[in-house]
Amino acid sequence: MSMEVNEKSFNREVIDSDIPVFVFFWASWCTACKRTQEVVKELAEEYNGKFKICSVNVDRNFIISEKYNIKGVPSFVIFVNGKEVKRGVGAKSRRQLKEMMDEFV
Amino acid sequence: MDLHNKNKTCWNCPAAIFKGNVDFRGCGQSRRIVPKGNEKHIVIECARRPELGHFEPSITFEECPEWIPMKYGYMLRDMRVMILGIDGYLGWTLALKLGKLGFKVSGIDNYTRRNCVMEKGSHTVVPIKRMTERLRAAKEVLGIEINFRRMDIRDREKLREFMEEVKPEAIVHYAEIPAAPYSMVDAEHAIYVQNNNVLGTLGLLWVMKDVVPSSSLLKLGTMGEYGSPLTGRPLFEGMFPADAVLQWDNREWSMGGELTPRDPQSFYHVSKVQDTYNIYESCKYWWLRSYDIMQGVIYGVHTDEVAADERLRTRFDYDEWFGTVINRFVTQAVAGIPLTVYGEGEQIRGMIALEDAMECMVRLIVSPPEPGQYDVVNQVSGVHKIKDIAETVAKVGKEKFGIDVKIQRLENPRVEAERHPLEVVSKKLPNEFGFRPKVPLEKEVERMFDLLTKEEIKKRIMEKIHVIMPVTRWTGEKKKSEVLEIYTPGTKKDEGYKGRLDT
Repeated sequence: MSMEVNEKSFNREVIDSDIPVFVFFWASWCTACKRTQEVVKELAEEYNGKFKICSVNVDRNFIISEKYNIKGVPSFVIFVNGKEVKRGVGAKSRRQLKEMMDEFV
Repeated sequence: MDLHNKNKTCWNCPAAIFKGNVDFRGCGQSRRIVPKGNEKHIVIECARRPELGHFEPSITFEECPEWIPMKYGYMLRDMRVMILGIDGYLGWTLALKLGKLGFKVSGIDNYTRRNCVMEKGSHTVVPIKRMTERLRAAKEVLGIEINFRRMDIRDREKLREFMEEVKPEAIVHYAEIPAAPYSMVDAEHAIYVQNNNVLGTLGLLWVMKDVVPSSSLLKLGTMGEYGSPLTGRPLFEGMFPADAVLQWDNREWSMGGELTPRDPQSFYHVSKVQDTYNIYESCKYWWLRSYDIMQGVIYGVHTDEVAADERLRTRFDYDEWFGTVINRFVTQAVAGIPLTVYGEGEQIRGMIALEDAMECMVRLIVSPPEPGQYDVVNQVSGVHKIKDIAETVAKVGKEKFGIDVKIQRLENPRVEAERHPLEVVSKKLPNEFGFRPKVPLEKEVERMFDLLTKEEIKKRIMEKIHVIMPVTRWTGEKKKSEVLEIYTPGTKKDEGYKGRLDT
């Protein structure tokens, strides 16, 4: 499943995760983000057990956004063992998102 | 109870006043100043319950005691809704429906619609009362108090004062001139329509930013913004879906969330497209929140509230400028005029009955967007071909009312594709807002015949019979359309494209 994480839960859910984590940075005013939410939910089902899928709202969690240098939304960042290993910025199709993730499955 | 908006939270609630570090910037801008001290996080204060102090905005509508269940979802207790254009066909109908459900309704109007219809030498066939009498009847019959002010939406000072007094929690914007042919009469009419619609909406956005930035704006757009692409590309809900892709030069890009192309069909439709961009931008710049509602061609006369008393009826126009197609066909049948199909009659349109449209509006009002969220819904309950609509009206007229009417194909006064595919996507209202259409076309057509065949109404149709045949051409000429063919219903073969509705 996909979960909304915030500054309190980010370290626990993302950095300390045993499996790769796909983090979707979004904002409510970003129309591309709103559409992408639907695909992210589907990917969470599809990659269940292989990936943890987390969403971070950049306006509500600007310290994380600042720390990870989010300069535009949507941004997609993959973390493995607490380290950033891949990043994509701007809207992506389902196929493009899957390509990003499949490297780490 | 499993209501569609139960999982919405304080982020959606107009009563949530954001505190702490509220600093929202446009897409792509980084935060260069990290605030210091304790106010790093966003918290809220509840305008309804300030005694609770500051807390995290995570309470759901289902959990919040201020949101109470009713048949169209959880509803903010005594929610204040302002209707701009409250005297119109939709505005008045919605005011009564909301009032009956317990909303606190306010509204403005300057009677533009009454004046425009009068200017063209027509009148509403269903008689409507003056506003003072309407308000009195609403109180007497339905027990509803409506706070009404007469004003032009473009009078920003008056509008601002009224907004400051009422502090609406949702604003329904119907205060536009809704007529393609009226906008094509001549330069004066085109400019008037665009001035009223575009500048009225732009001014409203600035007033909202200053006075009620957390109120949601429910803005009436039109399916006509999209046009009818000959490629058959589906008419998505305002934006491309997440996995839409643009391919060019052996490369590809995601189109997810980009506004879809618009192909408006008159200067009126252009005004709606410009509104779309103005609202989209204001959500991004100021964190306003809006549903832009692309309504299909509206038809019908019935809701329980307007039918409760003669004095509560909403207007019903049948002239070539303001009458919508199904409303016109039924009137023509009653008047014994062959139903006026333009050109081939193979045009396909998304449509919705008045009663269904009003239910959609209530569902949208109680499920506000998040701050900064601009979203689009296609408010359509069926996709029909104009020629088929004429057949249905003729059939209901004949079978239920003994009216024998023919169909006439006229030289098309408009510039539009007469034969085209049409696929309408309308997934959000059914899947996110719990809407199921309840009014089949035949049923509403029957209700319309029922009302329009009353002697006093039939008399009103005949009084202004000259407004039925179109004379306004998209070329700017004033000329009657030639009759291309008159035929008996049921004698035409089913041909051409079929419309499709994706729900």
